[in-house]
Amino acid sequence: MDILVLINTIITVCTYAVALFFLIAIVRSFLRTKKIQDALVYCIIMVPFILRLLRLK
Amino acid sequence: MTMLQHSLAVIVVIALVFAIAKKCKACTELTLLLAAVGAIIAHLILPMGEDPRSALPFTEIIRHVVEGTFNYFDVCLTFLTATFFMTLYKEAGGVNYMVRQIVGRFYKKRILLLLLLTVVMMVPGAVTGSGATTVLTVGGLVGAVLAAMGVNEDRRVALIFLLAAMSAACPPINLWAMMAAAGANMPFVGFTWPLLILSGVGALVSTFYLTRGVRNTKPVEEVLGNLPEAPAGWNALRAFVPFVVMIVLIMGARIFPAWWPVFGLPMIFMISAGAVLICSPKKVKVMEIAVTTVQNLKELVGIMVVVGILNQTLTLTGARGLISLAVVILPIWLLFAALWLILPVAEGVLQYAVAPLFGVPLIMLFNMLGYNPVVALSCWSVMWPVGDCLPPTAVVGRAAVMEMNYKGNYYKGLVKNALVPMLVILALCTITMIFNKPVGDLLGV
Amino acid sequence: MDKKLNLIKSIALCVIAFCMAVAGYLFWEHRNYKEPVVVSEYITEVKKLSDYSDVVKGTVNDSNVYIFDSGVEGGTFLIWGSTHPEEPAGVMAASLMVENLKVTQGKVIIIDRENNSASTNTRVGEAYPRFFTYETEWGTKIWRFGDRHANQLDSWPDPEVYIHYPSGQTLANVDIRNTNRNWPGKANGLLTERTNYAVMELIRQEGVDMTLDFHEAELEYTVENTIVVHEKGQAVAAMVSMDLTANTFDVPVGMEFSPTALHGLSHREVGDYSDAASYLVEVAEPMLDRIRGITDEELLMSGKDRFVMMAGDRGLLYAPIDENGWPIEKRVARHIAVATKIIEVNNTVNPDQVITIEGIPTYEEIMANGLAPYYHNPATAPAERVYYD
Repeated sequence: MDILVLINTIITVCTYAVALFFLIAIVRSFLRTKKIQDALVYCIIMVPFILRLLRLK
Repeated sequence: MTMLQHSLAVIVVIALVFAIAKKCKACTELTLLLAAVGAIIAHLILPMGEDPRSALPFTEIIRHVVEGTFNYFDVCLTFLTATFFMTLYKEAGGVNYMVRQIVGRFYKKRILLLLLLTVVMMVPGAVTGSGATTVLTVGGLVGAVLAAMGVNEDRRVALIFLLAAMSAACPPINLWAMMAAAGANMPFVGFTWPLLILSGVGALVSTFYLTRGVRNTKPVEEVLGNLPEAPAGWNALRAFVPFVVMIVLIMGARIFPAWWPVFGLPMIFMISAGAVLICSPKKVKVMEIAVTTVQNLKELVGIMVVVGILNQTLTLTGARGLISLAVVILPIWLLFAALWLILPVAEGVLQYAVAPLFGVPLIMLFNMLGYNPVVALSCWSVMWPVGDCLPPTAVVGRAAVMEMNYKGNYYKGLVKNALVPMLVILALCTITMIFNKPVGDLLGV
Repeated sequence: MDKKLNLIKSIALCVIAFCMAVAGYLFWEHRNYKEPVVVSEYITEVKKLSDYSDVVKGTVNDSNVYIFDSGVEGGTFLIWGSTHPEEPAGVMAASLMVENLKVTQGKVIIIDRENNSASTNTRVGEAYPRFFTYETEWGTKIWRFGDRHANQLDSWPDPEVYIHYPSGQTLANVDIRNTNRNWPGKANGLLTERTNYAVMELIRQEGVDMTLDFHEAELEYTVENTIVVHEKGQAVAAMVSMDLTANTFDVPVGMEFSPTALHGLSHREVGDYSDAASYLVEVAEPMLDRIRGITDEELLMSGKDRFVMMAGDRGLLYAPIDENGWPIEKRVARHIAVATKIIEVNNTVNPDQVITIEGIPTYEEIMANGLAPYYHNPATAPAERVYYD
């Protein structure tokens, strides 16, 4: 594999890791919040993160 | 019922649900989500017009709603990582150090300091195309310097918003122009000068208008005395390394495009955040800062996700097409007279989606009428970000409020103070758009 | 209060999980659906793109390359569809040719799905259907409907700005996943750049004389119902345009020169970086117009849209449209007619590149019979003739 392709592949994996990192932060915020509306908003924000990490979209 | 009446009814339902949900004190994100759901229900109930239509199963409706959440996923990730980077830097004491250095060196040279701050604000948006990124990366720092200069809170937050908006419009990266040009299969060539002149004038007008009457008369030592101390151990090298890393990662792609890997903005900001951790003399709690970042950006990211759903719904129901059609069939004199209002308002509703929605049909219309599409699109691409302080999304305005920890009234403080420079920018763009041909000839585009 | 809050949080999570499960399955189904193609009995070989360059080996864009070699010396013509899978006439025309073609002199090579990755994902914000279908006597033939850009699951992240290789021209960042913006490709670039690099290798190794890229365009767009051509193919394209306009089509097909300042497009770069003359053909697809009304498969296939018609009434379009719309049969028939006419005219202009073909319906035949007779049943076809795109 060409070195540039390899580096780009590593960056892709790291970008998924970044998405996971922020998903964890979103889940923590969801669990901590005492406001109903905020909890609902966190729930919606989670959607693209989860589906991307599951490699469905 | 014709398709036109159908789509019009969907728009009315959206407006009604929005109004009712707001009345019931739902937050903007949930209000927009409910409006999107209302639009889908109206679409399913109302006759769809003269022509046969495909079935829309329940599962596909869910798919459309979920798919909509991806509309601005990359933008959301950029917001999160940029804010995380700057929050880390702030928590580590880097911002305090930088503010003290800038004030200490330039406080007495007011014009030079203002020009420096304007340039500092313009750079992040110019290279990323995102006004929110500008606010989230350097907005807090510049705001702190403005505060030290004695610029009042209302004007400060208005100026941060305006400079961020103009930075997003500034070349080389103007996402609205790029997206519209891509949609119209137009090369992104010839935009540099018109965008630079319009956004540059807009930024300078904003800076000097909103800092009018401010005199830097206090002794520097007194001003420094009122600023928070930076933690021990910070020096110029440590303070600059994270930004140097960020600049190298961004500029590397431009200088060595054939050899440079594709990092993407989220990774660029995360690597810069890593540099902060390495350079910081103070230990910071990474996960806690990530949670704080998410909590601070909840509204901003939430709005982007929900606007994506609304955008998908508008398209599905024909409402987007109707809005787009309504704009292009306006008489041309009315179009010239109304775009300064239509474009920022649409930006407030749809964010970057306005570029393909209005930009592409407008480019094609202007092409057909024999106008200069490069100059015209440049004008629109400077007008769009001005709407980033308008509801329901108000993405950059909200980011400025959040970053500056602004406690005043959003409309009476930020919007009212920003109004005059905004109108100047919109007027400048409108005049340039009207005289698109001579301006194009003058600039050689 | 806490109990109530936790209950609401739990319900919200359940609702979201349900929506993600339903949508996730539909995304998965779309991404993994394989399109059967019953290749013509006269096909000589089916290769993979990676047979020409291993830069796409193991990727979703390692597309099938259908080769019809007569064994008789003549020209070589490469045709591909689905550069933009949101333009269905391209893949339908390409697969119609693959299912029916017989070459008696020269060689014809066809790729149904040039940017296969882009067909595994619909375009966000555009409310596209996932599939489009065509009824035949043996049942429903199904294709994946896709995006203009490769799936982010195959190419992520995007750069903050896309700098075209090798010209250095800057483009919107998402266009790095648009295969009609990154010709002639880059061996060590992202997936789409590598895909085009592999196709360029195919062109060089097979000694291709002409290439044709099937597209569709919105009616608001200036480059509409036309052949865009590199300098090398201008004489042929001009004659094809005149002949089809005068004798075959109800709506004229134009001819335009490939702009030299706009980089990354097949009609410019394939011609510049290989010996082949490069052609790209556009036909009207109202589904692509931003001013379109309700978005569904019906609009995609019938090409009927009242909002687009209203714009047409006000003189805002570059193609005519009435209540008959732009049906898929007409769009595919125009592509097929342009491809066959290019061969016919090129045979006279370049006698050293003669290609003779049989089995492909004429424009009139498709307009009279529809497309159904030309797609074959994969369930009853011999297994060795069924391939999957």
